[in-house]
Amino acid sequence: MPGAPPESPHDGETRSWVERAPLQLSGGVVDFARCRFVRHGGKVEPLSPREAEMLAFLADRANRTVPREDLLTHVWGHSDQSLSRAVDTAVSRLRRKLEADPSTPQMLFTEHGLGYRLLVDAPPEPSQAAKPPPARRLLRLTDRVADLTAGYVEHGDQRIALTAQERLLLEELLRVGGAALAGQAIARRLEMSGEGALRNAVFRLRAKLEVDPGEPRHLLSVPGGCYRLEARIDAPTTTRRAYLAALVSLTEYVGAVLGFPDCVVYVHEHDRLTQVAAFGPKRGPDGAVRVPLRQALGEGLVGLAAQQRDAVLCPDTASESRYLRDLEPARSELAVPVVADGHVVGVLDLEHPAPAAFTDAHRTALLTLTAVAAPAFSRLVGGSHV
Amino acid sequence: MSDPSSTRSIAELTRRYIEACNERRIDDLDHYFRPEFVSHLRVGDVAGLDRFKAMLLHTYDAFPDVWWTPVETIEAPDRCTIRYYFEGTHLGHFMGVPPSHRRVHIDACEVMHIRDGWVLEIWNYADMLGMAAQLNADNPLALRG
Repeated sequence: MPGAPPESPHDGETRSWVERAPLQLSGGVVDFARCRFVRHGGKVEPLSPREAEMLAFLADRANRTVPREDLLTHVWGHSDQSLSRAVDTAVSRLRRKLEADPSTPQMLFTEHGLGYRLLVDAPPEPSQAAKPPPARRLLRLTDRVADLTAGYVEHGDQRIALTAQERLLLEELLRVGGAALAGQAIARRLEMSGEGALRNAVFRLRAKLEVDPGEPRHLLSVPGGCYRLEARIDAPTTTRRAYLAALVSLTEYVGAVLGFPDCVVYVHEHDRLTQVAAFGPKRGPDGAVRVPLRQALGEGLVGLAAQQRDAVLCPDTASESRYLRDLEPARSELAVPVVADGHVVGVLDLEHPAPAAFTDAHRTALLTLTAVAAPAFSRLVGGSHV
Repeated sequence: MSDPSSTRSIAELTRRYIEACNERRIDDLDHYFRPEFVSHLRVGDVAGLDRFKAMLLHTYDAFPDVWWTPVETIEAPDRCTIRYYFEGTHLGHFMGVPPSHRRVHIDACEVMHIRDGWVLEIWNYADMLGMAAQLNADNPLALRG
């Protein structure tokens, strides 16, 4: 975002470079969304957030010499010139990732005594230029709307700008979903000089957000020197397909990272449990299930877990009459219900060819995992998002 | 030539490990972690360095700008505890949750078991409740004031 205020990698603000369109360079493409540089030959070089931010900053000033001091101020977020060696080191490391031969750069040049220059010889592809802007984060208030992406409050025909610090303050309160936060903690996170500075900031922000700043309805003071925000961000629209893709990624996490060879996700819809995503022998194209089974509540160990709203751990399926054999026979099974808002919305089912493959520690860990994933299941079966 | 792992301090090892994660130099982890290394997470054990790297790639995809900031380290002869915070923008699938475009910030703590300059095991205590609450404001786990 040209002209944006300086941002450090740790300032808690949503950074514009993450959602910018890919940048075409002579040696490859910078994929900001995935923090990587993909060479024309296909080799992938991971970029650190600071390297990506530095490239975005240089790309906004493409083919121009950018003083080292500007990089230090805008990317590192401070102006202590004694740290300018940090820029040189970072550019040198970045050059090793971008250039085929870093000693004779073709894209990222040093202009001795002046700064650095990024050569961008291809304009953005039409499809890239047409990329939609980042999703707006709208905060609904009594008679106005705060746009946290653009940084202003819309009140009738008026647009009232929010400072970077005010946006951060709102993000900090939103982060805890309506809970009270201690003023001391907020001041520390926002690197304010103290609670007095925070009180002044709250006073100014109320004047922008509230109908009557003397009787606030949204930015509330809580006894004990705390604050809380009584307002919510409009939920982004997510399609059923996106929720299904998220559940596929869940099975990949369970399979490839946690190392369980056979994992299936069921969702609970219309009084039936239906397999929707799999890792292992049941996996079909795009992570869907090759031959999806449907089960009633109480049927099999999966149905039992859903019915009793608790995990079912079966150390040996050979001596368990309720075990239902799927495509591949298994000797042990762990079925963990996914519960959201008091309702069973799905089941995460793991099978293993060896007996006694699962322990109570697995059961506890997977209950934690399904608690994180529960909202995705809930939205999927709720249907309101489609 | 002597093995560099024999001379580096625990503090240096910890600093380099966090730096490598932040700089996306995951192959550098080969210099600090044994291949049989195990990470004990609240959501399950990750056994083996390759799986740990797969977990990092999953995290990078979900939070392209993820950054780990160490706050404090406490050292013992064969242990190191790091208190740090994790922050990033949720733009990819993460543990079954589709992208929310929300900014996530959680506190975490890791206890590392180190022997002869190599990390053998990590016990990770991350605020998963805080993570769940921030990924989805409608989450039943979200705290309400």
